[in-house]
Amino acid sequence: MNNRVKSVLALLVLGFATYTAQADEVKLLNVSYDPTRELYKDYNTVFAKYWKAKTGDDVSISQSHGGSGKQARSVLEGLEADVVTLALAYDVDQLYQKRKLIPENWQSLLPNNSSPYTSTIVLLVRKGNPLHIKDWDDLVKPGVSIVTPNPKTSGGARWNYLAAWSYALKHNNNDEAAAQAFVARLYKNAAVLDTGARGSTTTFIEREIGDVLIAWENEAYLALKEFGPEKFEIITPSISILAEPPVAVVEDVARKHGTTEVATEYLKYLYSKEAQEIIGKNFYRPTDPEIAAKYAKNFKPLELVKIDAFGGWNAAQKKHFADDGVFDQIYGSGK
Amino acid sequence: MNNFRRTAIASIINLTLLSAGNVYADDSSVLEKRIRELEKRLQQLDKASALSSPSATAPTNAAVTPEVEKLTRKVNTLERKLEIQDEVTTGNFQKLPTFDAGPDGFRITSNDKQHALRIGGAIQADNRAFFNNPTAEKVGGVPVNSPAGPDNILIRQGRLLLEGYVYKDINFKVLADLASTNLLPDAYIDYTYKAPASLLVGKFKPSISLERLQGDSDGVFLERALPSNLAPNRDVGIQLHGGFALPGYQAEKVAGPIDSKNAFTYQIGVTGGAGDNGSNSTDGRTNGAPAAVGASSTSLGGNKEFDARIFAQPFQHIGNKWLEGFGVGIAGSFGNPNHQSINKQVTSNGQSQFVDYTKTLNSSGVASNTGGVVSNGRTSRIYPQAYWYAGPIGLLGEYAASSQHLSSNTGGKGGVNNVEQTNKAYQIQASYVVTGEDNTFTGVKPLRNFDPLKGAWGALQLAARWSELTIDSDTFRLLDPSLSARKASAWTIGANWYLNKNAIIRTDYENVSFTGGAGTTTAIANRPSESVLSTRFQLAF
Repeated sequence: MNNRVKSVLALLVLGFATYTAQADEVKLLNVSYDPTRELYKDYNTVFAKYWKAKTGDDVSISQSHGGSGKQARSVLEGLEADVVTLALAYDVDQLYQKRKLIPENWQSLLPNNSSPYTSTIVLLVRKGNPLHIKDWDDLVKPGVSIVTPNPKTSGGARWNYLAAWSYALKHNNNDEAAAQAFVARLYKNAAVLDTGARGSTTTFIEREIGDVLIAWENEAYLALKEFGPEKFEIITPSISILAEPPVAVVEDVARKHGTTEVATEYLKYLYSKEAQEIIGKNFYRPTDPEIAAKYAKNFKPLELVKIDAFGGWNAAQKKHFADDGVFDQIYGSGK
Repeated sequence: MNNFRRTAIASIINLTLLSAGNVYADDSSVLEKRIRELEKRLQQLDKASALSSPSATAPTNAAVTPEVEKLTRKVNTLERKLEIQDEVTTGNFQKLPTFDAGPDGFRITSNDKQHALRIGGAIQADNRAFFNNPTAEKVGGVPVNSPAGPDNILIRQGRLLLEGYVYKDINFKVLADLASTNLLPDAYIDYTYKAPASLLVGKFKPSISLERLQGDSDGVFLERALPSNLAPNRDVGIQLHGGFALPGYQAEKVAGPIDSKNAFTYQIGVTGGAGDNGSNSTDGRTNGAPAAVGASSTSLGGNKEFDARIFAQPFQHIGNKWLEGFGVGIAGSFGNPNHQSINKQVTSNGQSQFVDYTKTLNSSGVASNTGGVVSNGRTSRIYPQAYWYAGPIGLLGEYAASSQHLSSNTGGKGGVNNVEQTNKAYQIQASYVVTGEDNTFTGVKPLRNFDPLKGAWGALQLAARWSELTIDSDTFRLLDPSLSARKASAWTIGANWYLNKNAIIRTDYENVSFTGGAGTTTAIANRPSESVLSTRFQLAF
């Protein structure tokens, strides 16, 4: 190919590439799980002020909320999230496994396995606790109607399931068959399986369906705050699961949008004192030791099982929540 | 009747109606029957409640409330389950692609609008009736080279179109023509990331001739005018193109080598170089023929052709209908082919050859049927062009000058075997939509589709055209002037009946007169004029 041709071709492609490299106004999309609406509403205001003071730039953050699994699938199907703040590591990891939207080592990029806050699973009952619910085994009794989301779509629902499983293992000498039978009885008592945790809260509180809501700890406290302790009570079970909702920059999308720097800082700032205060005020468990100590009195002590006890999320997902997994077996037979 | 019981039973009826929405139509009669039975039972309960003594038959609150409360909770639970089911179903439905079929073909679009496919096609069935007898075509007792005719009925186009986009900005077009030797006229990818800059790669129409850039089904006449003989038809290459809007307006992203939407447009391309009236095939062959021995390949890597075009519609949005439809531009190209074969020049509607680059002269000035003339050396084109559309009126004009260096293998008259040639052509065409619809570069859309029983007749457009093509006189130092004409002048009148957006019936009468192109090398005569009445039935979607 002669030099003239090469020059013209290079000019054509360079002209095109230069034009397309222009940056747009800074906007972020945070795709999150269901119950974090109030948390990120407060946090986004604080972060925008911080970013403006630091860089002089304006940033506007849009939120998308839904069941964690459903949200991950939306991002995989093209929802252009700059960051994801989902309920569990498995859902975030799918962004790497299925489409390489995030790096393989995403969880090590931020402190505490990229979890700036934790939570757990508790039980919310109606005032007076008419059915005398004290622990997980009360939920499987005949006549008790429970409300919990669907583990196929909701991250919180998977934490709920594993919390119940943990209890059943502990009280049955780690007998897996007994644990499966226990969880089967639990889901037989499920009145409704919403697609997400917030939907379950709506079902229980506004539609007055069910006797017990198995809920995120922060959701339960928010319900008390919003509707008043004269309507509901929180029952802290003897054992539950340590829920570690992780966060990640969707690097593939952020690179395309030119938002990598602000998206990274958006997640890093979740670990700041100011953000950890907001986390505590919204009834999540802060990971900053100083702030965590300040809010510790809000949470009753209980035994917390980590996901490591299940071999990690990949193993748990494969065994319990994948197609034809344990949940499909028990819910199919429990209907 | 107790209010709790009435509420519970009414809830059951509501649930039945809710679930009726999810049941196929065939089962609706069954559901309606159930609803009527429930309503009858409700009325009976009401009557029984009204007739009986309240003190004797009304249950106490203590006995009724738990049962009815339980029933109410059950109903609420069922309602909530239905809501969740609807939410999931709606979510699933929203993920489904949408299917559409209509005048624009068949379209499939993903739910997120990021991907789409359109399936279209075009069929043109033509009849050509020549007002001369081709077997009798003789001038001075010598048969005419490639005489006009004979009468024929043919499928001019039998096209299948696939076009669309993936990830919103990556457009594609694949056009197959099963009625042509050029089986794949178009096959390209166009990345329209931004309106001012898009990159097109593949096989497409080089942006040179304005009439050539008009859609193959959108023209006013059955065939393009004589200046199209001097522009390439299709070529393989790469093109940067884009459009700009007037201040205060936003430019549109337009895929493909022609943009009639934006106020200012440009195209800059590098192609294989198909030559005048030529088409490069996808394997790099020019005009269907392999490169001559000793010639370089026309695939990317050899000598290429560069073309550029700018076009402006400076009065867009001005609010004056007499000015808004005006567009003017200029296109040009240059290349340096190496022994590239030259396509024949043909009349428009008759499609008969009147310049034959295989019929040459030897050094004695005698006809030679061996060898031929090829394009070998620098080529260039200049193509000023313009159109104007205002209401039912349409005008289009262009001028073409195409220069190339000709080489003859056999040597021309007097031993000359290389000449510089500049052929020139122009056309001016006018059209008028008698039924009042807007006349546009992309066709006419009837206000009322053809439906004679309702007194609707579609749209009627009348048109006239004058065009000329003059071959450089130096050419005839190489070409046999008794077998190739020096000049062709054509006038055409036509009528187009648009039955609807997709179906058109066209009729043209064209007369072409020639200078030279017949007789003998020592007594050159004019080739007999060609008169042809052509009719086309066209469906394009």
